[in-house]
Amino acid sequence: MSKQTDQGRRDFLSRAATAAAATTVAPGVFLHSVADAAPRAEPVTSKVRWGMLIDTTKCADGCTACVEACDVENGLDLIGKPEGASDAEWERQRPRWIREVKLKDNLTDRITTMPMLCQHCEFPPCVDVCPTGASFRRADGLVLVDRHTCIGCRYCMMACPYKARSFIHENVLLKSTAVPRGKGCVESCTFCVHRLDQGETTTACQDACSKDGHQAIIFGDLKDPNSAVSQAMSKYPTVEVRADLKLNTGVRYTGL
Amino acid sequence: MIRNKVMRLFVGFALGLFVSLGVAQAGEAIEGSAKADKLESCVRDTPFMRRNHFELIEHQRDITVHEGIRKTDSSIAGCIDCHVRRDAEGQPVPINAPGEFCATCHTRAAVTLDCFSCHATVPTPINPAPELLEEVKAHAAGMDPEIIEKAHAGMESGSAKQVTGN
Repeated sequence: MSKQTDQGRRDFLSRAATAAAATTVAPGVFLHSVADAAPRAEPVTSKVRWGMLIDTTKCADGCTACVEACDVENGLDLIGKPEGASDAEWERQRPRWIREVKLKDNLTDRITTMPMLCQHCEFPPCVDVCPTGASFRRADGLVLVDRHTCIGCRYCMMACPYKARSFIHENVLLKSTAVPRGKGCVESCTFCVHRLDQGETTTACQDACSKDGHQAIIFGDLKDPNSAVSQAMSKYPTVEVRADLKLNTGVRYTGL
Repeated sequence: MIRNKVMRLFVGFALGLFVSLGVAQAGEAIEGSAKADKLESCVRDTPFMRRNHFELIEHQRDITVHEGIRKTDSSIAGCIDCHVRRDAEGQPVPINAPGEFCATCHTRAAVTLDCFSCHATVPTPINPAPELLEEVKAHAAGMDPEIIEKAHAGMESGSAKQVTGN
């Protein structure tokens, strides 16, 4: 009996909570600024566009915090070097979602370090060339690979101007539940989609960068004028890498 | 005479049971240790699940990948979480190992599954604790400990920290 009473109360509470949520969501303003830590129940919409601003002046030379955090978060550190591969070969071909890139201005000798990752373009070349539709752009701006339809042809890797994609050459020893991975598919940065879909609003690289005190990475919703990333972009001059390609990237840089 | 035989059979059976319980080792699933074993039925009734579980999973995979919906009762992670059995040490036994939930019927029906070439066969968190990581590795489906050892060594020698681009 008491169980039934409890159930009734629980139903009432959940209905009340839904009603409250509906009224909050109705104006549409709070949809993307409120992070509710629950798995997503509604399809993603284009009311949100996830994006990132990277301040290269704060990116420290020799620091690989974001790369390592990404490796751990997405299980990239669990992929072993194939037998017989040389170290150079492995470094060139190992799956990496973020690369630490150094730029040198030959006239001034100024060296810039910056993380290079999938730029989550609005008009992604990888999606254009994919023969199976596996490479796709999600409504909220994430450029992802549907590994169920990826045939591993690697056209997208050729098409990407940012060298952002990796191929899984070997069987994977240990798979994590959140980031499935198998031999023969292409993959790249997902902006930690497994976190976003659980209602979180940060990426592993951003967390690691903040934790190390650099604060070079700001992640958030580009369509929300109040988000940290939008605020920063309205304040500082930002550039897209290879802006000439007119891809409207979701990742922008300052200090380049 | 007959009674004697029956008696011997019974004793033998009891002994066998005892021995098999006694040697339940790491890696050997314990009967009834899955969450699903304590439930009346799956997310739908059993006859429906037997015939249509793949429809549910396949439909869900598209919705999850393309629309980001993770709140669902038919995710493959949910299947595994609920149906995976534990061994004597409480470690999950890979769901596609011989005799385990997925493998039992699929072997009998000669169905080749592709799920587990990418999806985890035991609930695996991001950032598993190092000791758990080792445990899970040791329990990996049909994986020879020597191969794991080798792969591990490869990982260490191959993990140069700095990657410089061009």
